Amino acid sequence: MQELKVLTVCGAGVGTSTLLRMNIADAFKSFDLPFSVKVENTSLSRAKGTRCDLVVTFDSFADDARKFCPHVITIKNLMDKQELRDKVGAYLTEAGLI
Amino acid sequence: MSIGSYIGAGGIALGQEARTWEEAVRQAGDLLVREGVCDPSYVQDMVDTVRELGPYIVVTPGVALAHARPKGSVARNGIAVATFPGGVCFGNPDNDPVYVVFAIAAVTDEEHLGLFQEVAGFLGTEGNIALLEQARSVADLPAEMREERVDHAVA
Repeated sequence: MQELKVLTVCGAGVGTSTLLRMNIADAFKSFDLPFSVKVENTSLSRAKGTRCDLVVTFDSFADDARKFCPHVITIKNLMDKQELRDKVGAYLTEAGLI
Repeated sequence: MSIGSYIGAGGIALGQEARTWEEAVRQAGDLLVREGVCDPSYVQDMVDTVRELGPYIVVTPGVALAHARPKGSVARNGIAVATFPGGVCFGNPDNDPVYVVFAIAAVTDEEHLGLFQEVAGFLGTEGNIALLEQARSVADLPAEMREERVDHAVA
């Protein structure tokens, strides 16, 4: 794999998804992966037309996200770095990337 | 820069009461309106965002970040904070009740980023959320929130 493409998704695509992008990018960095990870934030409506490997979002948007992306992580506490790391780790394991 | 540099002299309301999440969002948003940061339609947009998309703005236990897409209704970048010691239910099963509501307004999408980075840095600093929830006066607040505040009324 050359690059993993991750989208963080919220309603407006400007605020919460930005916070999520910053914290998720940090979580990926903690795994020291042999490929690059590109994290972008967007709104649900714009995300629909975008190819990606993983969507990180909240419960409200998870069902819609699953319609266009095979892997979806939902976050409960955006500031909980342990939750983010655990969920990223579970995804990487499940996808066979680590 | 610190989060305080986005908060006006009248941008903090501690010890408020609200019966519903909508009241709480409006109270925080009205602080921005009174400061001349945005017009009332932006407050309505913040309420509509929750109504349409759900309580995902409660991003961490006890804290809601009310915001909307800037659509010409924001005059300048600003943040306001209202605290509700009694707690307010937003309908978020993981992070309710909410004790602190931030209202965040940016002129453009790009500037939203800068404001949210400040808020993220503030929330990510250990102890800040507890200090904010328990604050009875502005003097009890973390320094980064008190200092550098701008007086929009004079500016």
